[in-house]
Amino acid sequence: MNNFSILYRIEIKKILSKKSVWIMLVLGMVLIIVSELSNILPLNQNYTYPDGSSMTPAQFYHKERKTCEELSGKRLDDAFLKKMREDIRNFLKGKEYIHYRDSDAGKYQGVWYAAEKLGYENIISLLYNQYGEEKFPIDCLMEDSAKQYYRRMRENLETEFAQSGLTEKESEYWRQKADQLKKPITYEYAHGIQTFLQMDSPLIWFAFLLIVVSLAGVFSEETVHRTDAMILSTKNGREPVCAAKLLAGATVAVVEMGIVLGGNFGAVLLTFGSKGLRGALMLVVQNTPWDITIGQALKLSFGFSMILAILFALVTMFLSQRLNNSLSVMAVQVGVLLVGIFSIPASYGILSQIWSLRPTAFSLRSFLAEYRLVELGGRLFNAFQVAGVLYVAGSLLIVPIVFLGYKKMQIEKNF
Amino acid sequence: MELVLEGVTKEYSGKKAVNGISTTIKPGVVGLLGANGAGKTTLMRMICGILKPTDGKVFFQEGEKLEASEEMYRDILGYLPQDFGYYPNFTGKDFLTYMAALKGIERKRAKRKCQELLKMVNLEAVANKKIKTYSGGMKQRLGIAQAVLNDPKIIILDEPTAGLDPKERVRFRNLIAELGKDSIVILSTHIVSDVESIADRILMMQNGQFIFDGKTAEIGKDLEAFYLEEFGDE
Repeated sequence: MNNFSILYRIEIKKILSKKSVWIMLVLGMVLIIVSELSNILPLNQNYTYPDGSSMTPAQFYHKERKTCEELSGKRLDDAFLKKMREDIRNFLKGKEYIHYRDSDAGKYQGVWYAAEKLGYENIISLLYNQYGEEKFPIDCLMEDSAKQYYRRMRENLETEFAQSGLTEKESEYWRQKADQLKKPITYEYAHGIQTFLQMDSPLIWFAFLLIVVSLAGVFSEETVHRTDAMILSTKNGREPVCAAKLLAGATVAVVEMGIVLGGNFGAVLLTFGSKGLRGALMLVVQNTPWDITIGQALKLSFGFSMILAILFALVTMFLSQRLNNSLSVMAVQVGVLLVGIFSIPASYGILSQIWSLRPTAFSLRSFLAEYRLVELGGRLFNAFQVAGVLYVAGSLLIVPIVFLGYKKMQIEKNF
Repeated sequence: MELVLEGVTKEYSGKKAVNGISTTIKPGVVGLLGANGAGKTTLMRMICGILKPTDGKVFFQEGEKLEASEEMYRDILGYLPQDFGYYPNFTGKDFLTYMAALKGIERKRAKRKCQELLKMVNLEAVANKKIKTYSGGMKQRLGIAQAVLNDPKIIILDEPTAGLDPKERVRFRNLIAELGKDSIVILSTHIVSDVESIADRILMMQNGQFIFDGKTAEIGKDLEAFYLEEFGDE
């Protein structure tokens, strides 16, 4: 294809020459930075303790990172739990102001106070997640053996299966996965990544908006600029231009998604370090039966986000070609994003399952928690596998439709 | 080398914008005259392959036959649409480079050709300035440059003199006359003086049909007077 690289480069230039794209990108990056800084520099309050001492958020963050990183690599077994509990009890001895024994609320306050002072707060938080529904969670947390803790984790997972309305076959699939999880868990300091995972859904949403603003005019603005007739009458004006536009749009979408997610992730790594990446996923996603590391999960998430960026870009460009009006494209795509906010309860069965895989609902946590499976040819496929195939197939289907539409395009309007 | 139109018709909601036009056009300058709404632009678009005729066909013949919808046909075509469009933030040079890529011109040749044409249309000094800073006449000259970038055998110019000052019009007419020596040039206009001195053949269009098709020399009198005679009060 003669001169394709020039056409591709110029299509990228056309997309990036829009001021709105840059304004939105800068705005997004500022929000990301502010959001990250807010983890360590909230301006409104210091951390105060029952002994009257206090810490600035920055001091707290430095202390937490130092103490938690010292505990990284420890296996959460009986020996470790015993030592941690002894440390906590010894710390609380003689500190009457804590009233540790007086009430469950007092115990809660005391354990958290000691945990923060001793650097156990991440681990206590991890244990507490499994006992949150108990009548006396702190008692369980301070008394249960490691075996009891892991059994509780499994029971909570079974509860989630029941809430998802899983069939026995589906439950068995996940039980087998859960059986493969290495226990005891090895602790790693992954607080930052946990923060990142809570943010990935709004970040992907923001990237979608950025993609819509960037690509809504890819085809339609040729009409606005009145360049469509001239382009279509040239040798490379049909298929090569269409291919260059689609490729340029997909590239911009992937780069924008990369900047938004990568920018945030980079900020997280700079703030909290990268040690948590080697930790087990269950350190940051409660009860998950997935036997993968946090780093592997993030790779999966990034990969999916990129596929989604391409799909969303192609849909946007398809609309741009069909509607031939940037504002209409933006209206439709924002509508799609808004409708995507709503979820359908699990009780609606297959409808709910299909809806849960919609591209606009993607977040690592939501897909990891989607236990319903699709059976095909006697094999079971999880949400990542099904959605991955659907997203790629959807993208591949859109390309020839856009090509066909562009090939048949006629210039009928008079100006 | 000839451009053939066979029963070319374009119908919009039952109304025929172009009605069964058949003609053969040989190299030289053809002036297409007609009032607004006569069907000139619709016909031009069909000749350029960007508007499909409801009936009939357009093809180019020089040994092999090339249909207007084919890539090979577009390769020998140069088109300046009515109301020439551009990208405001592109420089004149960027724009021509882009058009050269669209026309499939090899890079080195494209670079040389762009420089030549910028000089020819007197835009060399502002080649690196953004098109949005150009005057109407400068934009039109850029449009003309892009139309002839690929040394086309068929050149379609739809109202090309709009926005040009008298001096530029003269320069432009000379350029068209030169191009008409080797190519088929169809120049659509409603300004008779634009084609009077350079057209070898005049086509007059009214209600989607040719009402006159003849050589300029055959008219035997002032073209403007003849035009007014043919079109009456339009």
